[in-house]
Amino acid sequence: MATTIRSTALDFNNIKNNLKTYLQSKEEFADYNFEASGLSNILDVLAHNTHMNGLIANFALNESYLPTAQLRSSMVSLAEGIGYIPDTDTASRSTLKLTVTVPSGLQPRQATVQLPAYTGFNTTVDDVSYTFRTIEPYYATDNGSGFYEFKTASGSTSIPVYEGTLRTKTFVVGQYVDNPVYIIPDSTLDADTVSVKVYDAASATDFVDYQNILNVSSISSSSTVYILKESPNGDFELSFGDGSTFGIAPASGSRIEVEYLSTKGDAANGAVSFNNIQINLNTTDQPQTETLRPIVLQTSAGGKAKETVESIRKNAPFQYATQNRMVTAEDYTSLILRNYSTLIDDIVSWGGEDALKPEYGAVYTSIKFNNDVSQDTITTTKQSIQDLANQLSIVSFNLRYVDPITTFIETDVYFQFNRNLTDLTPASTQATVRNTVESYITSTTGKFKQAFRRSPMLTQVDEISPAILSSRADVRMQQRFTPTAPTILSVVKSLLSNPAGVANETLSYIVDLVVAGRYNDAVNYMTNEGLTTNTTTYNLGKLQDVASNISQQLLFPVPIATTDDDTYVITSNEFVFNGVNCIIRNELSSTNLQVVSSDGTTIVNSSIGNFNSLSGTVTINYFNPSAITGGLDYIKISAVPGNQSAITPTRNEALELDLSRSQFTIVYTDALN
Amino acid sequence: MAVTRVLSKQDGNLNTSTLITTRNKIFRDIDISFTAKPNGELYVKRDAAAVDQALRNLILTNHFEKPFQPFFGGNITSKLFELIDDPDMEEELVDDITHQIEIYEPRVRVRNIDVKADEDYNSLSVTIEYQVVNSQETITLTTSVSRLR
Repeated sequence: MATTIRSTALDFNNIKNNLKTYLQSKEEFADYNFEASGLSNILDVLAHNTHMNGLIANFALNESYLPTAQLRSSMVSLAEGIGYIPDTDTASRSTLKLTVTVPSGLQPRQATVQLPAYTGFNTTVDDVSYTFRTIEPYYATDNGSGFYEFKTASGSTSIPVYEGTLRTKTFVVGQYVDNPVYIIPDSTLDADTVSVKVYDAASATDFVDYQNILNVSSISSSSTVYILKESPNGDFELSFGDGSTFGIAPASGSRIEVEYLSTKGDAANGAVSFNNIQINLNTTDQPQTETLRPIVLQTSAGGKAKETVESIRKNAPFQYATQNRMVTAEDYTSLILRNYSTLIDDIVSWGGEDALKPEYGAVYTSIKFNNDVSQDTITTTKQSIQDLANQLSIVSFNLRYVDPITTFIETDVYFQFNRNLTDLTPASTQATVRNTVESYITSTTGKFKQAFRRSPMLTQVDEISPAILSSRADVRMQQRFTPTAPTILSVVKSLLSNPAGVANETLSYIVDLVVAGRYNDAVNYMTNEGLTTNTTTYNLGKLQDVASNISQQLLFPVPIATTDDDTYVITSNEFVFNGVNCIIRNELSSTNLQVVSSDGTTIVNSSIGNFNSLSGTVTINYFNPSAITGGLDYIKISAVPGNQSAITPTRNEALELDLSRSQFTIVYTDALN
Repeated sequence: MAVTRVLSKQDGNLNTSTLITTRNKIFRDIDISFTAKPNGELYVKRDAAAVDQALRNLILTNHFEKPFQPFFGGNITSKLFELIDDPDMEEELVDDITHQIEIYEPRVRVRNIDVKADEDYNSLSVTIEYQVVNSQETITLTTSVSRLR
């Protein structure tokens, strides 16, 4: 018999039952078991009180830890405690080319024209109007004939503009209080666009530009830094240093002016054109406006909503682990994502010691940028990341970018279908199987380290209908390459004294020797025939260099199946070579690759390359088809994996489905089970 | 008087024992008026008084009033906002009260329930005649509720 109340029970009924159990041991009262009794009512009050206290304690404890907190305000506060500042809304960004032409009659023309900060450019996305703005002034110089082109401080003609409404908040610093906080009542502020100016007096015109504390690498008593963070209600709080060791605190009577863009986030992504605006040229004797015509260099992208609670929960501990330093490979991933997450779809980093050709003292990073990010932005972002790495990484460590390698999955699915078990037509079932496979592969692959597994795919196929009694699938992996023009011929010609006087047959003979790897024979032939005056060493080096560059090597993520006398392990799509429709495939029971006619009857080139099953590499030598079927500009090389059950990518490899090379075949049956 | 029975050896009991066939249960409840005795202690309601207090408490409790038991109570007050000349209303209330007593107050044997609606005063009067188990006494409980406006 319990003589004490178990205080850990949270449920109301448990609590009440515990109280009843306690009363059973007492003589004074007996009616606690009757719900209408007075004693039961008192037990209700006691149990309810305990229940509520228990809940509150539970909530309070949950909200005290990152993995369990539910409220955004708790999450932001906890993240702040470990130095993680959640992302604010991010304005969509576009780059424009801005030019003005002044009519020839307008004199005098200004040598330099200014485009003020926060100049707005209107656009429409999905029938909703947005305004993009510059966030700093830009200048254009007269080219001598009245043509002005605005440039950035670094001389680029790509002018960045950001979507948002310009907001200004002004605070006057009052009498000193401990830790003053200035409230910016706006939850859609983009922190990257915030500008904080501190004026000495309320009416002063000179100001000091303060920097976000996240963007400075050292702080002293004279640092002019501000701290911007999300407040518990979702708005923002601005604070400054303490005036001693932690940066300057604006003095009493100072005026603080905060300018920022209040943004719509990702809704403004996808703007492809902007309206012309009128710009005031402000010439001395003829004040006049002219039309500024924005030309879109980059469709607007990168707009993003405020970081979600789940994202904070995931990222904050990693950010804390990095301590804002790039030491481990994961640090690189974490800090790059921290700064450029709006542009990046996926990222993976690994140490140079794990690279295919180990390189100690290097960190490799591969980034899949979002589809709407332009090449210009990718280039500048990579440079920014490099700068970031220089600032935060260990001295002497190099950051190496590696492009993502996409391996495509091809699958031939065969399923047994009993049409008597369903009203669905075979064609519609076939379409459903196709959609199911597409959906499965699309949803489970596409990012780094996402593996393809065949059995879950077939399980989903089997579950489509009771009329599908079983299924199987052949799996191939595919990589693509663009055949390069033959540079070997031009290199050979460059080594000859009089290339124009050398017969084509002789040139072909030399090229063939090089392709076959007989460099010494090629050099000796040229020397003996008096075709070249270069040294043997020089010619040999040149030929070896070009020979190593004329082959293309495809690296598959997993080993390729071994050859046999029955199955072609390597195949390709169709192309035209020497006037014949051909494909590439391996010779049976051999790793030698051949070009054969599409019907398989004629060998057009008996040795175009080879493959290595164990390392998963396919090497294609000198090769230049005249056309590729289907209007493609690349050839698809398909390889049967050694283990078709799973394809697991590593490093910078990612998988995608190639539906056009996949087949879905019905095998009719009358079987019932 | 307790009955004494002797079982045979084959039936497993060699001793003479008293078989208790009934147990006199005492009902004791706290007095929810919370009136204090001169010595500061609360009064205790016993037997029929305890049951009477519980029954009154039951029928005057409205639904959703008791924590985690939303349908506990006679819910009489809610009937004030029904059409008072509804001929079925009184019968429904009798059924409701009977049902509640069956579930929550097994100490009561209901003899009769009478509900009267007074249209002029927008009030309901409930009279319950019942008997407490273990007792031959018949008790009448009368209560009425009315709308304030």
